[in-house]
Amino acid sequence: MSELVAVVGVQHNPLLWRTLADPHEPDLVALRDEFAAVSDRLLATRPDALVVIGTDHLTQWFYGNMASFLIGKAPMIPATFVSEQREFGITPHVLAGDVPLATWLLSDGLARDVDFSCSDEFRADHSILVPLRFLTPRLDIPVVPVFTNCMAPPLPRPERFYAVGEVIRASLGACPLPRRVAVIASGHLSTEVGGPRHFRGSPDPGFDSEAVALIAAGFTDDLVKLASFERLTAAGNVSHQFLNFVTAKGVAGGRPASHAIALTSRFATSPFFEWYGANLNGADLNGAGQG
Amino acid sequence: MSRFTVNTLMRNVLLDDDRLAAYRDDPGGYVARFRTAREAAGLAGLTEPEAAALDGPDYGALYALGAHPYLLWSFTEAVLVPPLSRPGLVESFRAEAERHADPKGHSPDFATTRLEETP
Repeated sequence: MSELVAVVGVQHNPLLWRTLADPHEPDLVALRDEFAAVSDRLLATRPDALVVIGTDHLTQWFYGNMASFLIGKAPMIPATFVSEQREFGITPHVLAGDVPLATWLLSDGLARDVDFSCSDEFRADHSILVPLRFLTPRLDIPVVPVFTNCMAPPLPRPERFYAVGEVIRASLGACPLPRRVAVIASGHLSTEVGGPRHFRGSPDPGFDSEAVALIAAGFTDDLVKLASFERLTAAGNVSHQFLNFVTAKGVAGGRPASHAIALTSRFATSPFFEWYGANLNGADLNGAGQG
Repeated sequence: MSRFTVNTLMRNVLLDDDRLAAYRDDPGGYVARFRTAREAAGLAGLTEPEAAALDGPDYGALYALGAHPYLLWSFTEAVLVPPLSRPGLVESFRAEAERHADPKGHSPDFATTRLEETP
C-alpha cells in the first residue's frame, strides 16, 4: 500500500534558479537556506515517488486544448522549453515518470468523480522543474505531474481545487502500489508578471499574510474565500497559482501545517508550507483519522 | 477581438528560435505572413489594431487589448532585449501597464472569450 509521507508547498519563480546559484545578499541567502532546509526535511521522509501539482505557463497546454486538471502519465518527462532556457537559464533535464502511480491516480480519481484529463507525452515547464531542482537536487525520484489550469480563465472554483486535493489524498490512501509518496504543490502567493506591479517585491503583502495564516491553521472556508478569482486577481495577475496550495491543503486533509512561513525578498514573497507526521496523518479536523 | 490569435503568435515566437529570429528581423513581415497562413488554413485572424500592435511590438496596446500578461511580458522581453536593457524594459512596461490598467490598477480582462460575446 502507498503511504503519504509529506506534503510541501513552495513557489517556482524561475528567476530564482540563476539568482540563488551563488547568492550574497541577505534576502537571497535566506531563500536559498530555507529551500535547503525544506529539502532536508522532505528527503528525510524517504519518498520514492513525487506527485507535483503545478501549472503550465501556456507552453505545453494552451488555449487550443486547456484542461482544468490533467495527470501526466509518461515514463519520460522532458523539461523545460527553449523559451525558458533562454529567459531564465534553466538547464533542461529529462525527469523519470511513475506511470503505474499516475495510472492509479487517474483511474481512481475518475472513480471518485474527478474527471481528470491525461497525457502520455508532454513537456514540463518551470512550474514542475524549479521546485524539484531546489527540493530534490539529484532529480532521481520518479514524478507524477498533476497540471492545473491557473492561467487561462475561466478557472475551476477554489472549492474544486481543495476537493481535488482531498481526492488525491483518498486515492493515495487506497493505492495498492508500494510507494512512499510526497506531494509537492508548486504555486505562488501574490505575484504579478506583465503588469503595473511586476518585479517590485510582493504586490499584495496583506494577501500574503492572510494566506500564510490560513495555510498554517486547520481548514476553514476563509481559505477558499481568499482564493476566489476576484481576490486573487486583485492580489496580482498570476496570483491564481495560489490555488495549487489550496489543493495541497486538501491533500493534507485540511490539517494545520507543520511549518508555514513566508520570506520577503526583492521578489514576490516566497511561501514554504510543509505537512509531516501527525500534521499529515493524525486525527483529522473531525476526529475521523486519515481519509 | 481575437485574443487567442494574438496569444498564439506570441507563443509561436517564444517557443521556436527560428521564428523568434524571423520576428526580430522583420516584425511587420512576420505578422503579415502569420495572417496569410492563418487565412489560408481557415483559422481566425487578427483585427487591424491587433496586427498593428504586434508589429513592433506596441506592448502597451497589446496589454490594453487583453493579451495574456504573462505571455506578453515573456514575448516582449524575448523580442526587445537586447537591444533594450531588461531593467529598462521592466520600467517602461510597468509604465505602459499602469496607463492601461483598470480603475483598480489591475490588468484588463484577458480571458479569450466572454459570455457577452456569444451569439
